[in-house]
Amino acid sequence: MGRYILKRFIISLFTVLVLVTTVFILVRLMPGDPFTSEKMTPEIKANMMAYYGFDKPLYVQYFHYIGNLLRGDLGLSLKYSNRSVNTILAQTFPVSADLGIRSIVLATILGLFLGIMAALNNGKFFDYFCVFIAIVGVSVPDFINGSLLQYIFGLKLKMFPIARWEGFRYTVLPVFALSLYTLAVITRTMRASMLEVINQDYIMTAQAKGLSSWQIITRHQLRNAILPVVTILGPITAGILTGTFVIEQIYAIPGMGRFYVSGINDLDYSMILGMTVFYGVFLVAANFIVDVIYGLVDPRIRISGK
Amino acid sequence: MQNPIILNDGMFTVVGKDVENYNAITRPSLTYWQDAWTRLKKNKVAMLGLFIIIFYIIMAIIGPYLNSMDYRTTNSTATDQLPSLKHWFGTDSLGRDLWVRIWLGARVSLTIGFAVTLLNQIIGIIIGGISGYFGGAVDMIIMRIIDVLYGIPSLIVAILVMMVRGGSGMTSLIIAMVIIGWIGSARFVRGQVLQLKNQEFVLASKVLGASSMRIILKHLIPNMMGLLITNITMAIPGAIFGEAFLSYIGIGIQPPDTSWGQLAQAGSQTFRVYPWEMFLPSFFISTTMLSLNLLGDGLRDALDPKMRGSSR
Repeated sequence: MGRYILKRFIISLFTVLVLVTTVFILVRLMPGDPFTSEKMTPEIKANMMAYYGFDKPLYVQYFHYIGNLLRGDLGLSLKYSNRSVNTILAQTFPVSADLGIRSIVLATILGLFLGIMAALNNGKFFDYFCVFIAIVGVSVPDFINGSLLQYIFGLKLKMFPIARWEGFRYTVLPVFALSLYTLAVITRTMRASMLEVINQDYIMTAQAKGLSSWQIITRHQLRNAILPVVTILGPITAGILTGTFVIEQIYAIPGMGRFYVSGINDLDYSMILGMTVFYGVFLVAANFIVDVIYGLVDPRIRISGK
Repeated sequence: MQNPIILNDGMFTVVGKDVENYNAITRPSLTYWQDAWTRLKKNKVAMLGLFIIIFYIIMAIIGPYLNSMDYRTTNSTATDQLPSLKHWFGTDSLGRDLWVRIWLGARVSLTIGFAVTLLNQIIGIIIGGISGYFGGAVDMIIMRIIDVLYGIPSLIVAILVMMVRGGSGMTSLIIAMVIIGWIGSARFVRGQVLQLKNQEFVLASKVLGASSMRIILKHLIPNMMGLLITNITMAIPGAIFGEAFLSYIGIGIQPPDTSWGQLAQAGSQTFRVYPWEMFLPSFFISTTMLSLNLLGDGLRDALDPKMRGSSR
């Protein structure tokens, strides 16, 4: 087990390093520079470039950046003068995280529930209903169901506010819109793996031992069926995260996504770099945690230690 | 006790040998693909999906020529119209005909969806195939690279690549989505190859002196084909979504060129007043993705050799 965790940890570290390097190079390759849109004389521009260290050779900038990064300093925003990327992140990340966590929790609970119920009612009406929800859910992109929910429940029925982030009522539509895809994926995966597990020999053994069907479901079927769901939690987190970009735009939620997109349009080097690194590290960490959880719940890994 | 029955020749008649039909096959011989097609045809939902996709492809080719409108001519006296005899799908906020724009957008969106998926699969087959087939140090290195790249969110890389390429354009979008998009497919192919390469028919081929190239092309790939086709069908919606997402946040296709994602983005600007302009491209994006998912589900069942001979 310890060796397994160590291996995943080293891979994660490399992922972060590759990510930071790639993003650093890609950002510098972008056409134009951050000050093109502002009217300034060449001297002032040279001064600005020198102030932010852009006049130094690329490798010096790179090591400088890595050095700062290790101290947790993501640099100054070029567009919002005198605000550091750290400050902007500190303001916006809690909002995005709030939205994301609510969505993941809702999607996981509801998705597991629907998946389990569908498998237990295999071939009956409820099963078809869940399969239908799942296939529609994976087919409708989140920017579409975000707009649709906003239009139907916000504008027409006036049940929920259509924008901003100021209380529970404001969270209902965006959270639901963001979680629909994930919910569908979890429902699908859970249903399929429940149905696969039910034909395994150990279920027959459990039946032969005379366990009640409730005991079989909770102690044998669920525990084994949940493994595939754990493995997809990593990609799911990534999906939710990119989903926040559009959902935050549609519902005017003051989260990170909006700053990221505007940073791209303004060629705000340190903003793009800082936010991508932050997103990347966050995701790599999430994947690492998922791997560790997987190791803990899967006895084949827990015991063999691979 | 009964008397034992005494058998004699008189009790039997010779039915004779029907030499003609001795080895006749009672059921028609079907190849794997014919068999799969028979099963797919029985799956009405999947066939509906296939039908919708084919319809959209045909409309993407001929649709823009069916009425006399042009995709970039603006008309300030006829903006934000609902469908009419003149504008079959209405007009957008600049008075451009939406029928033509939707089908031109379909060209871009579908081309990107298919091209990205195919490229991803081809690269995945090559890299995953090499990794799985040759094993050893090559496999070790490729797998470590894949492990590292797997954690990087592909849409974020796509955003950055779009920025480097100066945004817009179909080629840029395809490159942006392929650059690390092949990883999933490579992992899948490697797993398949590992499973297949130790089976007897591969060993037999090796003993007969077949080259690695021949084994890969003649044995491994045909045996994975069913699963690969299912995978491709399931991956196309992802690629269509990727294009729509990038265009929606404003760094994909730029007007006056168009795609479904760009149309949805344009529609979202005015959708509180003119929801139609948002719903229309949304409808096409969603039904395309839905059809492909339904078709993929059907293909998975139809191409599964274990299902062979069963009616469904």
